[in-house]
Amino acid sequence: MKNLDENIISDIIMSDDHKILAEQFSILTINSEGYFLLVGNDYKIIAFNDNFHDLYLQYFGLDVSIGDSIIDYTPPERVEEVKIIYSNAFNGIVYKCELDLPLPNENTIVFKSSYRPAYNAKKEIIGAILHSYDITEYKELEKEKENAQKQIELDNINFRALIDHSPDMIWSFDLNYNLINFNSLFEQYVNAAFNIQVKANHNYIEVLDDYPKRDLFQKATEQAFSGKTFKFIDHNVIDSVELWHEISFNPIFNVDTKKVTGVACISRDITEIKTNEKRLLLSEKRQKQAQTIAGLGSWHFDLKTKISSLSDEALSLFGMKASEFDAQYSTLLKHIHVDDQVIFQNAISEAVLLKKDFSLYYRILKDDNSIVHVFTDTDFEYDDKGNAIGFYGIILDVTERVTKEAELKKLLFLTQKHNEWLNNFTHIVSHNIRSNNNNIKSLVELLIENTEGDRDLLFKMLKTSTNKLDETIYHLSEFVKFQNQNEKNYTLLNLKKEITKSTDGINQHIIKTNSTIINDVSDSINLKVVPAFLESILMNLLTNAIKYRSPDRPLILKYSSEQIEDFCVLTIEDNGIGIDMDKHRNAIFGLFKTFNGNSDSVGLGLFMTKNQVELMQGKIEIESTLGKGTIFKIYFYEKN
Amino acid sequence: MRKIDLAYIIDDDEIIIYLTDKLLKKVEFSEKVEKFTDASAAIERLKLSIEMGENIPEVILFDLNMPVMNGWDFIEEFRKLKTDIPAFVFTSSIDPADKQKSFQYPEIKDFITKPLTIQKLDKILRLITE
Repeated sequence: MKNLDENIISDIIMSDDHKILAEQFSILTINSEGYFLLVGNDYKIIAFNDNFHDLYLQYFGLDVSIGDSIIDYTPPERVEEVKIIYSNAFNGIVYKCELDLPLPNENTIVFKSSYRPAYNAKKEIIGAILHSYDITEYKELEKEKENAQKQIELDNINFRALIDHSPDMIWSFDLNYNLINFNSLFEQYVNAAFNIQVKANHNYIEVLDDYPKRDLFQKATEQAFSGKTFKFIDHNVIDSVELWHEISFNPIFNVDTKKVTGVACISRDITEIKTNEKRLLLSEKRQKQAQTIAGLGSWHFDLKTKISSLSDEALSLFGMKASEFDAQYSTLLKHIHVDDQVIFQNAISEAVLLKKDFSLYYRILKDDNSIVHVFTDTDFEYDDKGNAIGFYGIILDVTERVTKEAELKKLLFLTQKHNEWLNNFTHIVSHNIRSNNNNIKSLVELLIENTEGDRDLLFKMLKTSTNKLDETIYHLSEFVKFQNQNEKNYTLLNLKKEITKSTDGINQHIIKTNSTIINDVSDSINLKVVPAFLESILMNLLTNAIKYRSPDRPLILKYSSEQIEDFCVLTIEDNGIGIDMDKHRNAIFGLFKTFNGNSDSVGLGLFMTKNQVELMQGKIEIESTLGKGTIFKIYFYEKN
Repeated sequence: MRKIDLAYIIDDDEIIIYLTDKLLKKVEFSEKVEKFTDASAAIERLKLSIEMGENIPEVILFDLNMPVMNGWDFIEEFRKLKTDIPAFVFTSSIDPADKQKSFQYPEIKDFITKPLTIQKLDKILRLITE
């Protein structure tokens, strides 16, 4: 508009005829928003356009007219100033100014004005042309722009303060690696690490020039340039202090073009997190080590998901590796000894049902058939509302303890048995010795008194009594021998060979009585026994069979063997006189029992046999039919 | 010694039976002695005698350690017969527990240890006639 106005001014042909000039003004300025005034050298108004006239009329109530002096329309305080400006123009000097025109309505119109000389055709200055235009709006815009600029600067300061106070190191650079922005932490770091004082526009590649991890940073930058965020953990040891940083390279996009214009980097110090992480790992590791040393495993069961989590140690108790465990309860159950599965299941279902802590001893059967005795103690876990959500438990290997307890129980059992046996034995022996001794004494007295008559009978009785005494003393000596037997004397013996040894021992007697021995015992049976006990058992049953053979038929004694559960069973079958089982069943192995009125029997033999078998944790059974024969079954416990 | 009519001796040891019988006869303890090596036979005999109204013994000596029916089994059966026949344990046991147990039976008048002597028989007789 200003240029247009300039053209208007240059188009005006300075005629001497004022009337023509005024007409030119009104025609040329008809489309201009500017204000035009032509004043003669005498300050008298020669011409003006409508805008000028309207301005004075509207704001000052002055009806500017041709021929009037412009001074008359000027406020008195400005007259001198206006005169100087005009006279300058009259002297050929162009004067430009900005003028605030305070309006009566307290608004201000800002004018940009020029006062320039007006030349006629002869290049003589005939007056001055005033051209003004309203720049109020422009000024306001400019002011707004200025304010906006100020705001941006302020924001910038705030933003800088923000990034400067950030605990993170922040910097950004453009596609040419020129640094755009960085915070003071970055500045300090670069200064400390590379001895470079960074400035804006500093080339980032130069900063990294000697950096050992330059390749990594380069790679991160390329990723960001391609529009992807790249993150990595940076580990440094500075002055033997370990430092970790999580560094992210983020692409900066142009809002309009969506193209990458640079990279913003954030480096966060995660040393503390890492240190804690490390401590946690260490403490977990120590806990694991402690669990391993203690043979202690842990178990967590989630009631909702039914997922079991077991520590490595717990899994190893179950004979599993972490990779083999599918977190299923049923898998755990499969590894529990079949005899304990029911109690285990019951304990778990009861605990889950009642939400009650429980503790339990049970056995785990490993794939290699070894048994682990374990103890589990659990605590329920509750959510904020008090609902049970699972339970935690320990699994403790108590195999050693249980084994020792079992050994102790066995020892206690043996000791009790032994004591019982000792008591009974002492009782029988003292009774036998005393009664036979008494009998002998009385018989001898009678023999002394009686010199005739039944002396033969008395001698016969005396022989019986001395025989009984003799047998008792034999058992007593056997007993003394057994007293020295203990567990250490367990020896592996071949059963068949031991039987042959015992029958060979009394071979003469067997031949004399026309007896037949059949030894069908398997060659392969080897038993861990107390040798003296086995010898005594075999000999006692063998001599019993001969002693109580039937008078009607020669003895056939048959030995055979079989396996029944944990026992090797030796069966000794004879065709002797037999025992009336209905009468004697409960008495057979008891104290001082003789069944047959046979004067040779003392009643100690079977009692001794039974006790010897029991001391080796076996048992003895008898079947017998009077007149037909007797079957003894001796159970040897194989786990000795 | 005041003679009594009938005595039972119960002992599985035939030598004891023989010796006791000898001694009883020697001191003229009783008119008759019935000897049993099996206590159950003694019970059967006694039952029969009571039923038939025959002579029943005025004293019974019985052993404790016997096969089939021992002394304790015998005394249990014997008390069922509800006689007032005085019974005496006659044993080679010197176990205080046996002695104590025998005194829990009112039927048992005394605990006599073997061997039998004249003095012991005197005591038995005194206890019966009291």
